Amino acid sequence: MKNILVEKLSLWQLFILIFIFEIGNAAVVSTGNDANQDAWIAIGLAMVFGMGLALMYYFMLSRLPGKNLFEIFQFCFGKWMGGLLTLLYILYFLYIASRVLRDFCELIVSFIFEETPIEFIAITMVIVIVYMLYLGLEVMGRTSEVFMPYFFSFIIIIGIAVFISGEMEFENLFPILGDGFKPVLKAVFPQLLTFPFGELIAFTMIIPYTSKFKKAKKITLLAVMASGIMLIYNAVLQITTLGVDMRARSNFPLLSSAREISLLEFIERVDLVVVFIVMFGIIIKVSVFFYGALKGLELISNRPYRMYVVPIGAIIAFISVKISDNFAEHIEEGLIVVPLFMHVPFQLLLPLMILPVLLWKTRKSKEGRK
Amino acid sequence: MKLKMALSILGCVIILTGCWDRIELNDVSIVTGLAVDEGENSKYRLTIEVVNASQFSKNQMGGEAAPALTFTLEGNTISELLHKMNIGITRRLIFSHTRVLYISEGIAKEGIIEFIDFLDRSGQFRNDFNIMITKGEKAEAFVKVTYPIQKVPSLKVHKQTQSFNREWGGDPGVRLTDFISALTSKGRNPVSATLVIKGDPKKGEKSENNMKTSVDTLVEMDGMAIFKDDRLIGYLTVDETRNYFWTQKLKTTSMSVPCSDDEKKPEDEKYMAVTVTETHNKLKVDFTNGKPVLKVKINGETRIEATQCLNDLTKIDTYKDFEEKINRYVAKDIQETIKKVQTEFGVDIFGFGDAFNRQHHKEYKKVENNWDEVFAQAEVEVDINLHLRRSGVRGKTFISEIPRE
Repeated sequence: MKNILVEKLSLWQLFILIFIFEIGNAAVVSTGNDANQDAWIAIGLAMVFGMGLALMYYFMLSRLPGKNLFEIFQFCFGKWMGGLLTLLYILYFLYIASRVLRDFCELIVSFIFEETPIEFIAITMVIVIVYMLYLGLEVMGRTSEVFMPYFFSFIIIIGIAVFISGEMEFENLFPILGDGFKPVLKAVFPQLLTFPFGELIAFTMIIPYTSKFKKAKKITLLAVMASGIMLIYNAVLQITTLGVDMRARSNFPLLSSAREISLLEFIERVDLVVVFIVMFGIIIKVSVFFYGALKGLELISNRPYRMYVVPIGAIIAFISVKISDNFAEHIEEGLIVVPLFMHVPFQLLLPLMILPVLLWKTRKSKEGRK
Repeated sequence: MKLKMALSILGCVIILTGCWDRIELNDVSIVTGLAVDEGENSKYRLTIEVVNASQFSKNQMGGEAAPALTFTLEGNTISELLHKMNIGITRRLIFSHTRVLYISEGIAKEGIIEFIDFLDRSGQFRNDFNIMITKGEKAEAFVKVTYPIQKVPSLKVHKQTQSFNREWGGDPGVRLTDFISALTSKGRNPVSATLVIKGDPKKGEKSENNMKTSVDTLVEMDGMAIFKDDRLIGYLTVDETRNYFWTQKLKTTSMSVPCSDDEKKPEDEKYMAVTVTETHNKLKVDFTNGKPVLKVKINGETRIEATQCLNDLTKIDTYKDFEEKINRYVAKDIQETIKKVQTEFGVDIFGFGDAFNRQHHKEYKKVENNWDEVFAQAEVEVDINLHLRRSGVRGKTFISEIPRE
């Protein structure tokens, strides 16, 4: 393998990446609607399961330190089977990357630039992402480090501002668990568990490159927890300002909530802050999936991934536009089809199937070493 | 290297500059009011009110002109009409600063869901405009009545409702999202404020109306309208509106409480003027013996602004006595208003159903679908706990010192 660079992320950067990745578009599109006013409980529950998932992914990686998910495939199943699996995952990552990108484009097109063609927004976003990934994983880590304070404080400030504007009605949160746990569980599985928490699978391509792999476990769990808490904060904010019905009917509830802000009658119309949050969240999210796919291509073709950045970027932009004809198709596929037929197999079933093989193989190799 | 630089700069120039959807300021007109009437040949007759911005600059160009401009079209959907307005108007319209939506009685009686959906769906409208039902005249007439201080009619109405809402509570303060969530909830029905025109609408259209100290034509607040689902079914007066608002989000108000408890003619009675400075209200539904009991609980602070009563305001007993009288007076008022809504309209506009849902979810589920009937039958308990804190900068009133024969 020539010209393949070894890149290293610091633990703090990993934390930030996971944090932004999880919040990314989940904060903006309405999640957990099945649970009505208990959406925040559902998110909390999903967070706990998500931490379990993260533990599982970490455990898999820790059996072969320094190797990413695709290298584990090859280790377990040999070059051809492993290659096939890798290829499937590459397609999955690319598809999700374009889907996430489309989320953002839809938001921009329906709220801000109503007459701008969606292609134009997709392409400009992809150019930024391609540039960042061309410079490498480390640049991505540093970029997110720079923007993290804004990202974090904007979300917090929106909540406080809505609260001070007097638009929050905490009554909207009641009755708590009025219909029992059933709706909550329905919201958690498969929707909330897989999106956003199960999408951590993409980090199996990044965690191996952190500078202190041993501590990555703690950091990952902490990051998932932090982002979970942030999402709960967000859900509470949305439910209290919009009410359950309105939230369910909003395509982008956080944006609608931010529109309610009116401080001292002159700090108003701050919805663009939300667009910043989404934009940055989306850039990181697309990049992480994109990076996963690129790493896979690197492994299969034995060429540095930088060669693929531009063409694959073009493909992502193309798919994101062509992925669905209209908004309803996009959302329905995203909430019903994709979780069940793509997220569940790729995030849960396949890793679970690989785990025993991995355990068996690594045990054998360890014995052999002895 | 230089070529690379040049190329990348060129690329940036192409990508980063400009904005696809940009609209220059001198290409737009700001819409401040929309008035919806029944059309003669089609479903709706829509009138828009556009601000004439040059009238607001210090050095007016082009001399005196009307502060706002209205234009009317007929059609079957509001959104189509809004895009079609340029039949008679030069600039593109922007709606994010819409202040008031006037809906005529006739339209409101037939149901207004059909165009409320457009306002909700279109990202252009913010959630800060008033929804007003216009009584008497056509809605169209209301966007044409000017006013000396706030020359644009809708801005005037908006400011007026805001002040009225804060000062006395005679405007229910309903916004689009409130209206819609009341519509979708089974435990609540929507309300909205109403307007009337005092005087001749034709005279109000001219700016001469602004030259007088007592204007010929004036748009006034007139209580509120009650809806069953999305259909208008009746009205409450301004006083009843205040009582309604007292169960919701009232902050300050003032009232005249009789000095003595015995019934007298209003002109013989002596009153004290009481200002409520702070209130906290809570709706509760208690569920005992299988029957819901509606409970309104209000805490707050009041102060005496003026008194015609002779009682000595330096004594604790007087304060206690007055406090009781105030509480009884307010409780009676609110009770009467709720009773009136129960008997005359039979729809829950207060949100007792929602409160019931929050407290006794399982029981509510059973009556959810005929909640309005249950509401109309239910008992009402009003618990007022207003504290009288102070009485201005004087203790004893001078009235009691005047020597009398």
